[in-house]
This record gives sequence, structure tokens and C-alpha cells, in this order.
Amino acid sequence: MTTTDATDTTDTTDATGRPLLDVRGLSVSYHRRGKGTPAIRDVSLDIRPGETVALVGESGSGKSTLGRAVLGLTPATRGTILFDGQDVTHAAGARRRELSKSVQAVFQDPNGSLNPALTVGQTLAEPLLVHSRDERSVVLERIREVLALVGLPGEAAGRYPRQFSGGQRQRIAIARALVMSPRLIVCDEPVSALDLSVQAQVLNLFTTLQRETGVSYLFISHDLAVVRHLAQRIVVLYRGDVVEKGTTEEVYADARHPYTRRLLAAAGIEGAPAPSAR
Amino acid sequence: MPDVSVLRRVLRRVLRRPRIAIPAVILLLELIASFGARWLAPYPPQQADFTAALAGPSAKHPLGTDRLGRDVLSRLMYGGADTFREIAIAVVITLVVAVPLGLVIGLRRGPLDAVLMRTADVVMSIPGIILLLIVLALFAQSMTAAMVVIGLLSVPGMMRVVRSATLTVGRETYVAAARVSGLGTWRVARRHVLPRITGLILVNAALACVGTLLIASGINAIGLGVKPPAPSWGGMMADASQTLNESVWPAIPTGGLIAVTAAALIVLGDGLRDMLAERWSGASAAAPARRRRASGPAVAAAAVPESDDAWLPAEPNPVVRLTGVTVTADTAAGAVDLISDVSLTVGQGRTVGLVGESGCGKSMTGLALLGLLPNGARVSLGTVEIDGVDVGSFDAVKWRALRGGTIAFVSQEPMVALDPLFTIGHLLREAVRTHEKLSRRQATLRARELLTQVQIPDPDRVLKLRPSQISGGMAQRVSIAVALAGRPRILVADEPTTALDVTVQREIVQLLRTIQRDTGMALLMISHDWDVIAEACDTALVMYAGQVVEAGPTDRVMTAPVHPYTRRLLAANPRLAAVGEPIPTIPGTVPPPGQWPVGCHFADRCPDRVDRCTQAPIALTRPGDDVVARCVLAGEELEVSS
Amino acid sequence: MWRTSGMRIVQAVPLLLFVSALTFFLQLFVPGDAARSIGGLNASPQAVAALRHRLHLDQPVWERYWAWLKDAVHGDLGQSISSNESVSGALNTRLGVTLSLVIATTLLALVVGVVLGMAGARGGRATRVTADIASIAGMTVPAFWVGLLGIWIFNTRWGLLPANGYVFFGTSPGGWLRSLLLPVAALAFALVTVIAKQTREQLADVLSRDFVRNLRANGVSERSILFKHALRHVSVTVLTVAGNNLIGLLGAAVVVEELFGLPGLGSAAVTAASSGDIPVIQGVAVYFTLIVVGLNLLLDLAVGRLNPQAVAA
Repeated sequence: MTTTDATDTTDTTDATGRPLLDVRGLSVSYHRRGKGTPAIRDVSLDIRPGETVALVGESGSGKSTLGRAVLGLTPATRGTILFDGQDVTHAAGARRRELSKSVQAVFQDPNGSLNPALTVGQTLAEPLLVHSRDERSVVLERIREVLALVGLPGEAAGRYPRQFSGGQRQRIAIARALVMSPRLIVCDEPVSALDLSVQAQVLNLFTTLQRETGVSYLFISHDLAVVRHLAQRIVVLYRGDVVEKGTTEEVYADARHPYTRRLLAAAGIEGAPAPSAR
Repeated sequence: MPDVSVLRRVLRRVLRRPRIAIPAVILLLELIASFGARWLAPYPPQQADFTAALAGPSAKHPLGTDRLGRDVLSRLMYGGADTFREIAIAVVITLVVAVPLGLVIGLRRGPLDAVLMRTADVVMSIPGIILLLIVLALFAQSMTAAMVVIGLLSVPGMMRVVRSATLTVGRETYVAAARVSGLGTWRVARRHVLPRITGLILVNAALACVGTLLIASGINAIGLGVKPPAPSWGGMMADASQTLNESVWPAIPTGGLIAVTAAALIVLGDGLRDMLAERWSGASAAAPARRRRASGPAVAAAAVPESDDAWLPAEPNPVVRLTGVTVTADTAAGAVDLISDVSLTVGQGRTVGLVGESGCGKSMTGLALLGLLPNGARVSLGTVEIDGVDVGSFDAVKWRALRGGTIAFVSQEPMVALDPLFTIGHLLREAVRTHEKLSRRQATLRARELLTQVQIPDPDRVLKLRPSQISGGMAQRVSIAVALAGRPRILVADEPTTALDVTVQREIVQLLRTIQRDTGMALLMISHDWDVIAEACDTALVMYAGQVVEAGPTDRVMTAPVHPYTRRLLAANPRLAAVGEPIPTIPGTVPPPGQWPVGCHFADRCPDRVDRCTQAPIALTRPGDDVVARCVLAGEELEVSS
Repeated sequence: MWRTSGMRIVQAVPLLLFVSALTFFLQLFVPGDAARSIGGLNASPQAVAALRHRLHLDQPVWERYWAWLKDAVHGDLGQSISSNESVSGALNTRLGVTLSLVIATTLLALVVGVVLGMAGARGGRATRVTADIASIAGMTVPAFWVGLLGIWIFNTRWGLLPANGYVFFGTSPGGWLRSLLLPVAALAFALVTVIAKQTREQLADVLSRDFVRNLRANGVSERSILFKHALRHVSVTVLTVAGNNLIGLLGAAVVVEELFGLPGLGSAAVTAASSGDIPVIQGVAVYFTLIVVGLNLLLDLAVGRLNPQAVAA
């Protein structure tokens, strides 16, 4: 049911139809006092180029764990993660570094996501320093570019994170993710700490960036109302298991699992069609 | 020469801080005196003058003489070099081993972490003094050997400090982001972790120096290590102890010098940490970054027109009434208004919602109502009435009589809202007995009843649990039960659902509704979540940057908002916005307290702004039956649309 | 709680093995002739030879350790080189002195520290500054010096308290108390300031927590908040601090015993260390380790009663 062609806007799709990210039967266990508690069990999902797949669930559902596993921050216990057809489940060292050109992340907390001791420019230059030996002018030019992409002035590079508001900091975090022109960005609750009026700004930014750069998103969120604006497909996690999978339309119109229906109800969407704009 | 200017800048920064400069100078002088003793000391360390034994300070002997008539100052100087060398050996060993280990295991965790932490536990349980005594006995009283042992014994403690600080910093998302950017462990440690924990390491290094100094002098004081007559600070204390009956004098400078040296080290460590911390805490940087038009608070407050509270939506039998309340806080930058001209009424059995974004003053309004404003903040204008009584002059005793019984409170984070060290039963009994004279048994019965009231199944089991043993939703129910213990007439609920999972949020709102229906209690619901407001509240007040900007029946506010801010905020709600097109947004951000414009607080972000908006404070007006708004266009717009 | 107590006891075994092994295997690192090093530069060749023989330094170290271990299991810690007495017999009579000193100091420091800390937390700016200075003084002033000044004031000047020696409790309880007062005060000085500081910080932390605001908001009295809720949090912290300070306290106790001429384990170890009486030091190592384990166990039990979670974590 995940192969609906509802996403005809994805003209960037690989000609071969091969997914960009392919997670197969992934399990992650955390070890506490010798006992392995599974955080996610046998989770499969795939993301095509230019597509957004939302991973939805509440705290303890394991949604962030999956994101961290894809990023290599948490080791997988079982299963495989394929990126662009290559097995990257246990990529480490040089391979992980290479992979980090293509896979980036935006996290929830806009306060903690930037090192307070570094200027915005230093933070943005970090991935470039790891991956290339570009000249200073090239680096500065790229920083200006990504700042412009997220709607911030070039002077922002010289300032410290504390001089920005929460929404602006989240823009900077997005800019850092964009520096290497990645093909996939894992977004872990990127707007849930933001105020309503700022949330919309950041959500729109995600949409615009995807249109302009063709990047794919793995969008992790607890809020089905937010997800609806971005995702073509939705995967619902409940206590580590996938309980629902389908295109956004399918899930909103005809959720099968009672948990999904509860989430929808909580998001104020009870199977009803989206209300028209005011 | 950039180096010189950097040096000069650092030096100037250091000298401006007496807490760094004074101890640094003291230590520097001691070092010079000690290592230059051969040239600087007035006498050789062993030169005895029996005619001047146990003399007090004089021109000849600035610090007096000991029982053999040896010059105390000279001996302290000669003994100092050994002391400082000993400290250096021990602390360098500790730092060189512990800091890299702590960083690595803090960032990488894994089996190495487990093994090293276990080892550390064992080593930290070794009575170190005994090891020192053995080493001294085995190694011909070598202080160097003893210092190596002290250095190694201090490794686990330092390693744990570094590790736990690394763990804390490592949990910051920017460290995860740096790893995602491809940085290896060492680079993350050097670039992101080490700079953040340098201050902490310096403080602990200072403490390690002090510990070594005290141990080394203690060893010498009990006659081990340095053999008399060679001078050592500890040995000189021991010398002095033998002639206490004749003179206490020789004991003063020796022990005093140790204490002064140790104190200088500690103060220096703390000072350096504080200096480093300021770089990112922003404490000093925030002030100059202040933007234009910081509304001279007192002036602005006075300039706000007293709003007529006739607009207040008809609330029968008001339980609480705020009239034109301004809360002012004293900050480093002067008095700053946190909320301004807030009026609201909650009638018996009614629910009023305060809605707005973070920092708009919702919670401050709730705390003003409870008389629990944070230190330094006060109601500077307006009145707060509870049950018809002006509480402006209430003291702690009167407030306590009111709280819990008349007005009660439920807060946002249920997991930190309950004292973790007590059982639920204990906490509930305490709450019950605060308001009613009941026996323990009766109180338990009432506690059970309260748990049933908040719809907790199996209350007897829950009474025996502690807050950490129950879920967030359950903890919030318990918090509500605690608040209900005094049968309050109004409950202030500050974001009671925000920290909960979305599916639990609804249950809590429904529970509050049910309780209200059953008890006739009034409810002031503070929330940023329009869904909660829509579901729970009869009346909604929208707050923006410290002011109420719109009020009216919830239905009307949400379906026909009048104030441009309300309109735009509702439109920006992803729940209500249309899918497939950009979500309408409000440009810019909410101005923080102290940076409110003189006129309409929303003017900077408002697309409908006209000149009148920015000239003078805007008053609340009542252009329609159900409509109250703080906008110069409110009336006109209504006329247009009707 | 019982789990952790069990763990403490189980952990004591490898700890004892580790400490005792250290006392033997450190000898491997002694450069040159161990007997000469132990005997000191002034020892005659005969004395060095005797020492070598008495310490069995001619045997491999692991053999010596194994022999010692076998005896130790049966409670025999060997013979003192200088007095020929049985080490365990000599140390048993001294155990009470050191235990009295350490336990009395810890209890006194806990009570006085918490009282001062709570008073300091409620005081104004002057109190705060005083408390800050006192806490630095506590960290920096050597116990030996505090004892020295104590002797001068209370003995030399006022003649109130003995400067030297120990009276057994059985001989005269009053004399026992008087003989301990100055040493305990000298030892407790540092610990009091540490505990007072922790109390102050913990109190400020607890009183700023959400649950305290909620207690206030729902009408619970300040008295109840302070003496029931806050004090319990403070106690947990402070008992833990006391436990962490035990090892340092033992170290200071050695110095203080020496200063006041108390016949405790510490002064035995010091005498042994200056005369190369290795078996005695090894014995004291065992006793000290047992004291640390035992007292920590007691403190754990106390913490566990106050906060079951702290122990589970």
C-alpha cells in the first residue's frame, strides 16, 4: 500500500525507482542492566528522492530512535539500512564521514542545537572543514548561500546563537544541514518546540527547500496536523512497532489502526476532510 | 604583532577581575619567592641563632624564628619549592590521565566506560592515606613516589567529573549535529566538549592542588617524607606544635601560608571558570544587544490608559477579578514590565482560557493571581480580588489561608510537580490535612476519594507509589487531586496538558471539565493550544507581549477574530491551515519584556498597521457585544464587516 | 535497598584483595634493594639483612602474598617487626579509638553542618558572605593546624581540655569525651563547612523546584515545606556527601591522631611507616578498608530509608 502514485509532484524520482533510503526490518535495543529493551522492533520504511515520509508517534514510540539509527548515532541491533542502494547499517569511520555528506539532521531543541561558544559562521563551516579543504572564500560564499536559503542575512554568520530567537536558531540549524547539499535530512520534531506563529514559518521553509533542492525528508513528529502539510507518506509507530503505513491521504481518510485514529482525534482531525482556509 | 595585542587584551580582562588578579598575584609571588629562595631568602634555611629562638616578627626576622632560632620566612621560602613541585607532579599526572579518559568514555560510552567506571569505584574506595604510608615506607620516604600515588589515586574522581560533564554536554543536540556532520570523537571532544568543560576542569584541578597541598603538608607534619632539618611547610607546623607552651607564634605563618595558598588556588579556579562561562552564558552580552525603544517601563506603565473593566464578558458570581494588573520585575537593566494592564474575571463554574505564545505573560498572570510571583517581581499597578477581597496587602499567613482552599494550582510538568521522595498517599494526606483536621485514617480515606475523583483506577495501589513510578498522565491526575484536596473555588491550570502525549491531553481536559461540572469550581485555563481552549473554555482571552489583545466567547474569538494578531495566529495554526499551499505566517518574533513598543505591541508585525498604532498605548475597547479588542481598527473593521 | 547493601558487602571482597595486593606488589617497584630502602640510609648492613629476613624479601612477592592471604583469612595478619606482637591483636585495641574519632566527627559535622547551612540559606547578604568565606576556610585550612590552634587555646591558654592522650570509655566516660573533643573538632572543621555548603546549595535548589511552588500554591505551610520536604532532600544529599568524605576523613584522622597522641590505627600506621614495619601497615590497610565499607553501608541504609529511588538508580 506504500506504492500509491499520489506523489506525482516528485519529478525528481530516480529513473530506476530505487528508494533513496530503505530501512528493512530494523530493530534497536537499549541495554540497561544487562536486559535489552527493544526501542523499535522490525521497522521497515523507504523514502524516494524528493519525498517526505513522516514518522509519527508519541514519546516512547521509538520514532527518535529510528532517526538516530539512520544517522548512525545509535547502533542497530538487527536489520539493514540501505542508502542509495548501499548497506550503511554499520557504517563507521571514513564511510560514515562520507555518508554524512548526503545525510544530515535537524533536531528539536533550538536552544541546544547550536554550540553557544561558536559563531553561526563557525558552526556552518564545520561540515565543510570535515569534508573539503576549500579555501576560506569558498567556505564563506557557501555559508552566505545557505543563510540566504533559510532566509537569514549574511551578517548572521558573525553572530552568536544567543543573539537569535528560537525560530531563527532553527533556521540556522536547517542551514547547517543544508551546507553539504545533502540528499536526505532527518528532521526530529523540528518545530514542536516553536511557537505557533513561528512554526508555520519553519514548516513553509521545509516545503520551499524541498522544491528548490529536491532533498528528501524523514520527518519525525508527534503531531499529525503538522505532518499533513509536508509528508507524502506516513508511518505510525506505537511502542516500537509500525502500526500504520500509507499515503497521507489514506491515513487521514481511512486510518485502520485504533491508535492512529486516536492520534488523529487528538490532532483535531477525525476522518473529516481538511477544513478550508479561512 | 597580533600576539601582543591578544596578550594585552587577555591581561586587561584578567586584571579587571580582582577575583582572578588577586589570587594570581599571590601565587606568582609565592612561586618567585620559593624558586628564587636561594637568591632572595634573607638567611640559609638551616642557620640557627639560639639567642633569638622563638622570637616574634621583627625587622631582622619578618616572620620571627623557630625553636632553634632559624628564620621562619627563609625556611618557608626554601620549603615552598618542594611544595609546589609536589603539587605539580600529582596534579599533572591526574589531569593527563583523567581528562582524556573522561572525555572518551563520556562520548563513546560502551564497554570501556563500564570497565573504567567499575575500576574507578574500587580505586575510590581505597583508603589513600594508607597507600601513601606504605609507599613512603617502601621508597625510603620519597615524596616524589608519594605524589605519584596521590596523582594516580585522584584520577578516578577527576575522570568521573570530566565524564559526567561530557555526558551532559554530549546530550546537547549540537554535539549530535556535529557527529552527523562527520566529526570524529576527538574532534567533537576538542571542538565542542572541551571548551565547555574547561572551567569545570580548572576548578577541579584547583581542588586537586589544594588536596595535594594539604596531604603533603600533613605527611610532613607527622614526620614522614621530608626529614628534618630540611625545611617543609608541614614539618614546620610539627616543629611549632612542640613549643606551644612557650610561644604560639611559629605556628601562625606556617599554617597560615598553607591556608592562604590553598584559598588563592580555589578562588583563582572559581574566577577562571566564571570568566570562561561568561563567554556563552550571554549574561554580560545581553545588555548591549538591547534594541531600540526599550519602553521606559515606569513611564510606559503610567501611560497605559486604565481600561474600563465594563468590557469584561459577563461573568456571574465572580470568584477572581484582576483589574488593570501590571507586573514589574527588577532586573539588572532596571524595572521591566512583564505583563501590562491585564484584566480578567472568572465566575463560579465558568472556565476562562488565557491563550498566547510563550513569553506573552500568561503564566505570570496566573502566578500574580496566586500571589506566587518570582522574586523581584511585584504587582505594580491594578488590583487582584479573590472572592471579593483585594489581596494586594496580604501577608504570607493570609495568602496561605487562601491558597489550596479558595484558589488552587495545577502546573505544566507533572513529573516535577510532585515531591519525588514521598509516596502519593503521603502527598495527598498532607494536602488534605493542610485544609481539614483529620486523623491519619480519615485523611487516607479522603485521599482515596480524591484519586477516585480524578478517575484513577486502583487508588489503593497508587497511594503507595512514588511519583517516579507512575506515568505522566497519571501524575497530572494526582497533581489535580492534590489541588482539589482543599475543595478550591477556583483552579488555575497552567498548561496542564502541554507536557503530555497528545492522546492523554484530551483525557486531562475532559477530566477537568467533569470535575468542574460536579463541583461548580471555576477554572482559569492557561494554554498555548487552541484545541484545549476550544474544548474547555467558555471565554477566551488572547494575550500578546504582556497584554490582553482580544477577549470574548471562545467560539466567537476562534471563528470571528477581530484583532489582527488573533486572526493571524489562528491562520498560522497548521491544524486549521489548508494543505498543499503555504501556511500563512506572521513575520518576525514576539518582542520580549523590556522591548515592547510604546504603542500597539503587535504593530511591528502587523500588516494592517496605521500611524495611530505606534504613537500611544492602545486601550481595550468594546466595539461589539461579544467583542473586546486592543486595536485601533477594531471598531471600524467591525462596522465594515457588519 | 538490600540489593545495594548486598552489593557493598560483595564488593568489599575484591576491594580487600585489591588493597592488600597493592601493599605487596608495590614492593616490586622499589628500585634496588627493598630492604635497604625500607630500613633507611642509616640502617646498618646487619639491620638490613635482618629486615630482609623478617619480611621474607628473599622470597618471590606472590608467594609472600599468598602466605599472608592464607593467614589473613583466619584472622592472622602476621607479626609486627618492631614489637613482635600479633598485628591483629595490636590493632584490635586501637580500632575503638579510630572508630570513635571518625563516627563522632561524622555525626557532629552532619548536625552542625546542616543547622549552619539552613541558617545560612535563610540569612541575608552578610550571612552569605560569611558562609562563603567559611566554606573556603574549611577547604583550605589544614586539620593539623586547626588542632594546633585548638590545643593552644583550650589547653595552653585556658587549660580546659587535654592536649594529649586518650581515655577509654570504660575507664571514664567523661574523660573519654574530653579526650575526644579537640581531635573531633579539628577533624570536623572541614567537614562541617563542606556539609553546610551542600546544605545551603541543596536547599536553594529544592526551594526553587516546581513541586515546592505547587506545595505553596496549594496552601502547604512554609514550615512543612522547609522541615519536611526540603530537609529530606537535604539529608539525602548530605549523607551521600558524608560517605564520599569518609576516605579523606580517615586520612585527616591519621594526622590528628598523631598530633593528639591518640593510640589509634592511624598513629600505629605512622609509627610503622617510619620504622619500616610493613606488616602493621598492611594490617591497618585491611582495617581501614573495612571501616570505609562498614560506614558507607550504614550511610547507604540511611539514604535508602529516605529515598528508595536513589538506591535503585
